[in-house]
Amino acid sequence: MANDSNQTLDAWAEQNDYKWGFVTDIESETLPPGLDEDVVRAISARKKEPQWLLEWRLKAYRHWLTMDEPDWAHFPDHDWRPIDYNGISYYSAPKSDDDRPKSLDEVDPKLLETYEKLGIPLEERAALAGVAVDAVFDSVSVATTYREKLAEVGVIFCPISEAVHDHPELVQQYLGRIVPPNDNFFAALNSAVFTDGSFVFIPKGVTCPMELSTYFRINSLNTGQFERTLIVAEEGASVSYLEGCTAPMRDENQLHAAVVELIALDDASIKYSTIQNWYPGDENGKGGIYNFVTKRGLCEGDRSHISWTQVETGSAITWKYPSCILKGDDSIGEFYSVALTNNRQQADTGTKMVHLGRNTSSNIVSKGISAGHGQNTYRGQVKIRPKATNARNYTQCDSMLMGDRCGAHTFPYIEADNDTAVVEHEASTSKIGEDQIFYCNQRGISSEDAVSMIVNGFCREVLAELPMEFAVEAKKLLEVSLEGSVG
Amino acid sequence: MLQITNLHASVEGNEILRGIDLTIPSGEVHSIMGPNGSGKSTLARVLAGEETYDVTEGSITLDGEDLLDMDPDERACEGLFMAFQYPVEIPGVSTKYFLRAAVNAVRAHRELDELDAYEFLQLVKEKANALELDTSLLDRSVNEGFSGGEKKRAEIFQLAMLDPKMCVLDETDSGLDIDALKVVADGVNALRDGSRSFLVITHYQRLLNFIVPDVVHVLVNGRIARTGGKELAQQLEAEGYAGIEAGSKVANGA
Amino acid sequence: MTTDTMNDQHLFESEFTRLVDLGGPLAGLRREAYDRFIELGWPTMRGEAYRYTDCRPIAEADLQLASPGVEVTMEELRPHLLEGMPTHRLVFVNGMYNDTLSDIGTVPGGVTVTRLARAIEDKEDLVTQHLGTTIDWKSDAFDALNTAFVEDGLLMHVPAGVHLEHPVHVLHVTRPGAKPIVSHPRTLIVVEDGGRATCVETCCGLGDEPCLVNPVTEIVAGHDVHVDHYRIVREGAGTWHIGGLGLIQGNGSNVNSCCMAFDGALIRNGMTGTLDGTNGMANLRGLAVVDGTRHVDNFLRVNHMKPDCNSREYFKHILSDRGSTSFTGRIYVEQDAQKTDAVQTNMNLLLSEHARVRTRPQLEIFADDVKCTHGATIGRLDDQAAFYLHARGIGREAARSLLTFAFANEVIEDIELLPLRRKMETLLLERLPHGDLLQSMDSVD
Repeated sequence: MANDSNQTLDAWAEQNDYKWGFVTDIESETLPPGLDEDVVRAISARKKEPQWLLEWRLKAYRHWLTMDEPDWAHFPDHDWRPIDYNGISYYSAPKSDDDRPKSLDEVDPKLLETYEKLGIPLEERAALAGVAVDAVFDSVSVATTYREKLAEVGVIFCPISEAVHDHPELVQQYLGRIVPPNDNFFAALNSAVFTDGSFVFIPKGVTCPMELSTYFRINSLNTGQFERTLIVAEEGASVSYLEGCTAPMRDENQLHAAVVELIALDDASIKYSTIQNWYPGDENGKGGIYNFVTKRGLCEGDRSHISWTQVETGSAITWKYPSCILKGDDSIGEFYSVALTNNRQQADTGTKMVHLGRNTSSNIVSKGISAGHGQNTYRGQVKIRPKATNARNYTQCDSMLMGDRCGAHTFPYIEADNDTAVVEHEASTSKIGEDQIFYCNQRGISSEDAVSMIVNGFCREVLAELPMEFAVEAKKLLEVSLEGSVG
Repeated sequence: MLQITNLHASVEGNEILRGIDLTIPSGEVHSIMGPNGSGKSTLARVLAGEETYDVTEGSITLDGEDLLDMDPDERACEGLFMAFQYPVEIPGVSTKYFLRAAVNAVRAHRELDELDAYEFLQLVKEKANALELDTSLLDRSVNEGFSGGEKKRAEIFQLAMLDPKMCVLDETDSGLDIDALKVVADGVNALRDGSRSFLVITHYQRLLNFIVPDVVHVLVNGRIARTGGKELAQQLEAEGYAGIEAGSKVANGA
Repeated sequence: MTTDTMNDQHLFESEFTRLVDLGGPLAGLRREAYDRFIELGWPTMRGEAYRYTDCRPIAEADLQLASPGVEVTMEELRPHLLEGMPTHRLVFVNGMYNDTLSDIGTVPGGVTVTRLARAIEDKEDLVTQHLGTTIDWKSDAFDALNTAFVEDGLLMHVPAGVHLEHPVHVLHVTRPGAKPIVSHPRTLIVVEDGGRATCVETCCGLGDEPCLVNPVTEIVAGHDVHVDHYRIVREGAGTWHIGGLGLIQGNGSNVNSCCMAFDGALIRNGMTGTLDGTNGMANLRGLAVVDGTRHVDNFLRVNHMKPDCNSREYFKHILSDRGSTSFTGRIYVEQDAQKTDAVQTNMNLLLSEHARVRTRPQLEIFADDVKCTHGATIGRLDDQAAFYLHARGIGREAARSLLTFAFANEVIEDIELLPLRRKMETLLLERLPHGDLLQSMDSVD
């Protein structure tokens, strides 16, 4: 296996070479590095936040000071450089008017150029796919398109900083309810210094007419990204949301500690899809983003449904466990994931499904692909609490190892405290056989294409969960076309 | 069309092919028979370009093009097809999808336009009907869960779809009952069009009752020990390989 | 490390001092192990290894080594003996050898079946070469404690090419008293190239008072060895049984170990198998019947260090009342251990509302050309199957028992030793609700 498949991998890795490495040189109104209460106040002031939110931030900050950074024994191979929290600048804004642009015409041209390079010309994309884009550039949001269309049905989709001003009662009602600031170290930090993110509110009975999506960039040196997203689906509402990220090449590790909170009331459903392509570090593991994200969905209402789908190919270190709390009766939680680690990337990702209500069910499909010296770990927890009658869980974890220098690990934790629970967990490990590649070759298919095809087949179940319009990025990332086009 | 000259090949240092000379003109069906261990499958896999074999001497050309200089997928695009003795399974990749990728790769090499979904399906229907192949098989992952007979028929189906000029059938009859054998043979015979060539590798003579060869070669100890017409196959059926093996030893000075 | 454990600096110190004064070839090992135990302290639920097993009652008990002279009669022993087949029998009471109840008999030439205490004197090299090599006692407080206090137990040595025809049966009987006692039996089984042997360990209790039984068994198998090992746990109702098993095998070796856990307040089976030769097979199986408020923890680790080996882990748990179980099974595959074939299964049958299950099947894989799978299931009896039996005239309760028996029987029916298999079947039927109905149905062939 050594020679042929490693060569194939190198060629394949080249094709996946990081394309979006560049920095926009716009003057930024950046705060100097450092973190103390004054910085928190400064962030809050720049955003003109109400007192209650400042208090909330300060409380979170004070609590963060008492917490310990998590233990990184998970990543023994990584040359861990401790994060210097005082070496990060917590606020960076492009130079533009105080008043935010009301239409694309008013947007700083250099910013628009950034979006061009990213391949998301807002107008074209919006027209083709009917998608509203809330583009976040560093810590300030540019005007959202199609706001009017959404407003017609009462859907609110705006930067969270805006929601704080325009819909304070909603934000106050739900912020921190699903991920409380003291939940973990990074959630506390995020609560103190978050600068922006999306706020989505779908009112009763409304099906959001289009996919909602957000693009991120980290631009300035030493700027951590602390996005905060809150999605609320009221009774009978439903929405599909996509989060996709790119970032420039940097030598400094950059920290990404986002918090995403979802809440679905009776009969509501939220589908949250992520394509994550943060800079993974060079082939020697130098630089690269640290992605430590807390994502949690609360199926508050009966018959509610939350589904997480992710394709993770970037970051030097990924540490995330999108979770579902199945509180409402008959609620459903789903987790579909493809995580790919190459070179010296490390991923420790999985999900937590907590069954509280009656007749709840959860479905987990995790596909890990390890290549190069990558280490890919699935860490999942299924908890069935004593009152969770008739809970159902099905978990499938599959690992594909490419080459003999990488690792694939599976650590599920299954805890059942109710005898009516039915839990099934399966995991398997496989590789792409030389004979499979030779077979494809003999049919005229190149080795690179063969690997792509087989990897795509391996991930099929997960990729099928991605909203069709955004599967394009997944294709690029995994280098093959989706099957839907044949037959 | 296929010209093999003084081919020597070894695996892990052991020489298996010891100087094979073989010419297969366009439109002819040649058969290679031989006892186990003679190198029949090795020959097939060396033609296809499998890496585990080292070609230490000799040449292989297809219509004048040097095959040894090409990777396996290039040889396939040039028009070489091998039906595997044990077709491997590729879970997760549907046969239709796989085949479309293959067909289009070959077409691209020939500077033809790719087939779109509709055109491809038309081609599938046409070829499947000719082979009495149940198309629902094609929605399954490549060879996954296929019976022996289904696998062999799927190989011939792929052959029909890819339109190669040189087809190597590596013990296509192994593991097949008589009915399955007939269907496979019919499929092959239907593709004999006067310009396409076949190299049928088999241990038993039975297949050659259905796919009647123009020339029969006997491979013993890595060399072609005898060449003859289709009667040679019947003679081997009656007498076994011993006579030829002995003769071969004498010829090799053993 | 200190945050994960409870330290007690003066634990067992006086007893350890007595042991140290004995000197001997194991003095250095004991010292190292004792220091390590003090350093580690009792495990807590904050660590991964004992995450679901509460050792606080053990830590809080005022444990002491047993005094000699505790009597056990043959009648009390009889239910645990293997009927109808000759065995080489050693009996220990509260950790101390009992000559009257033991009956080693004659062994084939070259074979050694003896007390470990004697082997430490007579076969010093054999013992020092192998003792402590199969388990990672530096990582586990109980293994370290046993190693610190290792004094007696069973030593089995089978030289190259020899088949030990009859099983060796070692019984560790515990008769607790008012004060909680602790014993550390140690078994060392060394089978040289081409040898074959069978060993049955029975850990049984006579009395319900709290006590700690801390046995460690080590199996060292050379090349082309076949070993069958069984451990039957039928401790007293108040006993904490923390057992360790370590196994190392060479090329072409086949080692089967089966653990049946029936009685004891807390049973933990820590097992480490290391495939250190090619083409080996390690087969670890177990059945746990957990009722009352009992807790059984099966904690396994199989290390594939060399290529072309197979391993199978197959554990079934039956829970009723307020029973709870924990299963952790790690399959570790080294980078060079290509062509590994490892399968791990844990199935949990819930027969009551308050049963609690924790299961963690784990894979840690660094080689790519491998086939590794694990599976875990949790569920109740199949209603459809129960209805089918019911519709065929079998009473509802009997039907449940029949299905439960069937569930457990998959582990039992693989027991090669017939008398043991029969015994386990009978035991299971006695324990199942309405098992008597099954017995009368003569459903066991």
